[in-house]
Amino acid sequence: MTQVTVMDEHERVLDYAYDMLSAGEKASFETHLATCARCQAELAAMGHVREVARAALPMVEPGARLTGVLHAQLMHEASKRKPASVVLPFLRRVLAHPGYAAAASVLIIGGAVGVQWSRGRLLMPAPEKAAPVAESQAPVAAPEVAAVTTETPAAVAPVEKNKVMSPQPVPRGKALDGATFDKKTSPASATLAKDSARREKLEEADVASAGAPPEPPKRSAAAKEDAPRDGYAQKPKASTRPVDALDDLIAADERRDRSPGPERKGTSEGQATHGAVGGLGAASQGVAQNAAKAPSRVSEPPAPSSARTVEREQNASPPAAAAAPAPPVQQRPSADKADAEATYGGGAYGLSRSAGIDTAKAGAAEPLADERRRAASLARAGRCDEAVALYASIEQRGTLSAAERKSYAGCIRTEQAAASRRQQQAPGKAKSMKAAPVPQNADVDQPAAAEKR
Amino acid sequence: MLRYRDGEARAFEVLVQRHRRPVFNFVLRYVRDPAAAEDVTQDCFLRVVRSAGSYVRDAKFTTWLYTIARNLCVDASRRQKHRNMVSLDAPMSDDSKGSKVDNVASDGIAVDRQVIATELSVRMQRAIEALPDDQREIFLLREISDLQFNEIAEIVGVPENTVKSRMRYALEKLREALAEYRDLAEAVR
Repeated sequence: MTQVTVMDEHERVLDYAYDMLSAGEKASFETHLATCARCQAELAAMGHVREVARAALPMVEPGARLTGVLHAQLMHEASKRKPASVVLPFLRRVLAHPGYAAAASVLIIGGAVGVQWSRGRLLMPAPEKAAPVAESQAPVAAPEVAAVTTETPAAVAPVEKNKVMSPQPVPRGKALDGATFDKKTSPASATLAKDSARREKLEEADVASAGAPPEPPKRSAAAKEDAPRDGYAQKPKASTRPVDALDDLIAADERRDRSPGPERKGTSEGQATHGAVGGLGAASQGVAQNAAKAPSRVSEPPAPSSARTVEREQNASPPAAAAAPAPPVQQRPSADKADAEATYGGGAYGLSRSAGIDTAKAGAAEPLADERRRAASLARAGRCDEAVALYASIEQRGTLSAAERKSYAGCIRTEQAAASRRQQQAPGKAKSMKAAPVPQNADVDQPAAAEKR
Repeated sequence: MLRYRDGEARAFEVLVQRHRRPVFNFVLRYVRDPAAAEDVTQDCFLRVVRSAGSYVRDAKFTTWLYTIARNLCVDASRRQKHRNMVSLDAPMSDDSKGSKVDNVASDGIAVDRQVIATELSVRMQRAIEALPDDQREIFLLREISDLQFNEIAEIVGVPENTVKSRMRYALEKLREALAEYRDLAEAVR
């Protein structure tokens, strides 16, 4: 114990030499120093070394370079520095205090959670918010179905020119609207094709929602009856056979022939929109109302781009030719009015052109009235081979009306379907049907579409 | 320093005027080259300027300043290790005349007191330069910069007892280096 104490005192020589001891320690060490020769010698040596060292290492003044050029450069650098921001020291002070730091952390975490929570709510649409979306989709979807039912005979033929006719259902969005596809309608079809999956989800959400089924604002009574409760267009339920479509066309044609005048004179928004069309639009609207009452038999999903095309076809067709059911014009979303006007303006132009052509050739077509009636009756009777031959001869000598072209195309399609069936039974025989004649003007508004392109 | 950090540029000049000389001397004894010492000193204060925004008053400014200076000295010494050939024709210092060869101790017996004092100083310089770096920096910081052992410990980054131990070793070596001149030194007294 005594040795340890002495060693501690020896260790204090350095502290004593540099005056680092407290008063009590200093007194204690001086007591030890008076009796310890080793500590005295060490202390003397330290003092001597320090003295010599201080003499050997005098303080040197910095050179002129450091006090001149370098100093000026240093001051310039120091003056360029901007004052420290106020926020950073404040944050430092806040974080230095435990209470402030805890409060700040609570605020940060709470803010992050709140943001995430609000985002989560935004990303998960409520059922009542999904309904308006579905409602906005409905006017777009509804005309498509009607367009499918309208265009089936005429629209299929040009697309299937280059392939073997098949009675199988036409792929969605290809054949049915392919005939009337143009650049104006392609964006709408693309958008609708992209949103098909989303529409299905929205349909489910709409069914799940408890609200009243959204309906288009000016939907006709017949369309309301046929429309599903979810506000979307009713999907066709009828058979997919082209013959049935042709039958629909023929039946609609017959109803049109039998329908009284006032129905054709019905006013429509289409008429108001297409002022240049005049009575043609009204007649189309009347037929469209008739067709909307008739159940659709085409089971294919709606063709995306056919809504506007149908409108154009209705406008382009003469009143007698507007045999197919047209979608209610009121179902068109008002947001598309400008676009629709642009599109229908082209349609009106095409209508005036095609109507002018029909008028010019009216005189030549008069002598063919019997043949026309005969061809129509043949087509109705299902004798499509004879009807096709008759229509071909009429077309060579004159002009086919829009309804006749549709009937002609429907007959061709029926023939090709029959050939396809025969081909399935006896392969090799149906090759001749590939080159079946297709009317050049099957698409009524082809001139208008060409103009647009 | 706090005033300068808050945007008062004039305060930095006060800092430079106050600390430039001791820092320069410490650096000069450390790197043993006046030109390099000036560069290191300049670089040290430039670091202070650039790091002023992050300065926190946790320690004395002197400690922070010498920490920067010491780190720069260590870097400079490492660079100089490859070319640590001091020419004997180099001047002793700015305020001394003659060259190093004039101050080299001769083998003959010095009879003049001034000559003995000069020779003792040269021996001391050589003994200090011969110290290991960890002992030398502590000796310089204590004897030239007059820093306390706890501050030196903070600058060097070792415990205070280690600093004292190194200081004790350094003093022992210097005493041994001057042992043969003890009688002369006593005679000079």
